[in-house]
Amino acid sequence: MSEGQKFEVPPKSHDPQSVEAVLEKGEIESAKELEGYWGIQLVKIKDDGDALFRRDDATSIWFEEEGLEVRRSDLELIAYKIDQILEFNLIPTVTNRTIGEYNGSLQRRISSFYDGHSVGWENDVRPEEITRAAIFDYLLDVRDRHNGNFIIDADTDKLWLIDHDFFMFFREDFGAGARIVEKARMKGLVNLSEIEIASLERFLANVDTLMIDAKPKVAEIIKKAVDRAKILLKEGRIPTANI
Amino acid sequence: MMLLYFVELYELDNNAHQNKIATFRLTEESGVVEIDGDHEHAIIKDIQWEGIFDYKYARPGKLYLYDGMKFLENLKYHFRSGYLLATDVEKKIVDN
Repeated sequence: MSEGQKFEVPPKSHDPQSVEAVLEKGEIESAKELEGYWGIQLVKIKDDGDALFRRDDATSIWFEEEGLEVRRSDLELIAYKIDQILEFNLIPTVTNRTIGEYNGSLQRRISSFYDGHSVGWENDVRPEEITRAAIFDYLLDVRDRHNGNFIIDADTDKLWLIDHDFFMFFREDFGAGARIVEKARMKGLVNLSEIEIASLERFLANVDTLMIDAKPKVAEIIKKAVDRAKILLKEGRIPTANI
Repeated sequence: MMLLYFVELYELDNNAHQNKIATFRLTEESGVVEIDGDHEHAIIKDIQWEGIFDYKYARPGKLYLYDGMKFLENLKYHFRSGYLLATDVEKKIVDN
């Protein structure tokens, strides 16, 4: 089992592919809408823990207003796929799924967590994980990594990145939505190790598979990530210029 | 009698139960958002200090409690993960 890859009730098998299979095909025992605006549902999967279901239609207006054909579940999935290729293991397993009449993203719930609002989280998380999260955020040019958009497993201090949605990718960049990159810079954790270099080279080698059936806006995200991967490899560190 | 606008903020706990951790309140008279809840809670302290983006209108800069309704109506965008979720702005009539 990957570190932190656990359900409240552990799944029968714990590698990401098995978790994906559970999320894609596991029998849904119940789906309860959470209090709050977005209609997010807590989904219990029979014998395999629970997950958060975020309906695409709840946020489709953001994309429609911009004339984009992409939806939240597309963005959640591309972020997860890139993380898997990098082998950073920063994003809780997520799949696209239709529940009831709604399509959306179904993501494994981290059962024990605290978030980036907690003072000193950066001293709990392993330094290399901060570096990798900063690389990921730089690579995808994220716009909204504020303190509520990453969480830390309270049992293992494992860092998880969440909320890869419209605002994360398409919000106007006011230059202040990159909290993890800021922390990496403050702590001097911006240099790439051999492991991260290999991750980026693997990403570049697998771009063609990511582009298969990619919607135009997702393809743009991938192309930008390619450019940024090359910059990272050339400089050997996360550039100092703001993302 | 006066109109009170409010947003509730929920946090998902380890057992997948939601707990209300704060209510953000705004009256037409004050113009400044007040918080009912544990002011020592990390989220409450942080949001007062850090502020939030203006997601709704994409205006540059950040919004703080003293921005009143602009702050209130952006809470649901800021807290949207499921682990933390804010309600839309609701309103009710209360006694002065």
